[in-house]
Amino acid sequence: MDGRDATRPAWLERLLQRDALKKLLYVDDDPDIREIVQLSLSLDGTLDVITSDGGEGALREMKEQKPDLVVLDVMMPGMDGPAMVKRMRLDPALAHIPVIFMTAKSSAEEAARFRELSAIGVIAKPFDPMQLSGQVKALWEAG
Amino acid sequence: MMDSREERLAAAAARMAELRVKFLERTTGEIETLRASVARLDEDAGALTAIRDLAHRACGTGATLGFEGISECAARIEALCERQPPGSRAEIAAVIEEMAQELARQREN
Repeated sequence: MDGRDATRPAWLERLLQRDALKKLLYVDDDPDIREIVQLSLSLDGTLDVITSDGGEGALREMKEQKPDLVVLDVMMPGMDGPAMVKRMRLDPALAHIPVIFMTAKSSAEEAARFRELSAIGVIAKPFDPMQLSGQVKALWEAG
Repeated sequence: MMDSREERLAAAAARMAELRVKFLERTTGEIETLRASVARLDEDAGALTAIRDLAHRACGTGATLGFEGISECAARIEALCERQPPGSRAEIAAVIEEMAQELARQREN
């Protein structure tokens, strides 16, 4: 018996396999926030964190790196977060990847829009760099 | 050999301190950009968006780095830009100057 449960989705199965770092892609057009997020999420040593500044480059990065989770800012120039996730959901190579949004602006309409895109959660900005890792993992495990 | 959590924490804290300095320097430079955009508000349709976008970034990054005063000023500038109708040139300019003073205070600390 290898402990696998056929009822668990593939992404959760990968999460539970502890022989490799889980790969997380963070997408944000702000380079300082990208660096802070990368520092914060790398603290406990269980995540391999890569970043992208958004747009088509981020989608290419997802196909190349095959992250286990994508966390992305909502407000980005050109292709915003929700538009990016819509593209992901239409692409068979990316549709399965769980997504968490980060946003400074939360409203009932935005929350409904994120749910329609099957986001597993939303993290408010500004965030506490020391708490971010716990927030991401809690949403990931619950999602 | 992987770094211990303590080593990673120390390295992250050091880098955060550097980012705080970098943020203050960059945002101080952006004050001039904001002032120039305010001066063009009446003739440049994109000036309000430029102000709003700069303020949005300063608000989020400032708060994340612990600069609540700067972030609060930036949030007010952003809100003035998004208000319908938008804030007047004088209103926006006044908050930009408040933000400039707050930046100067933080640089002295």
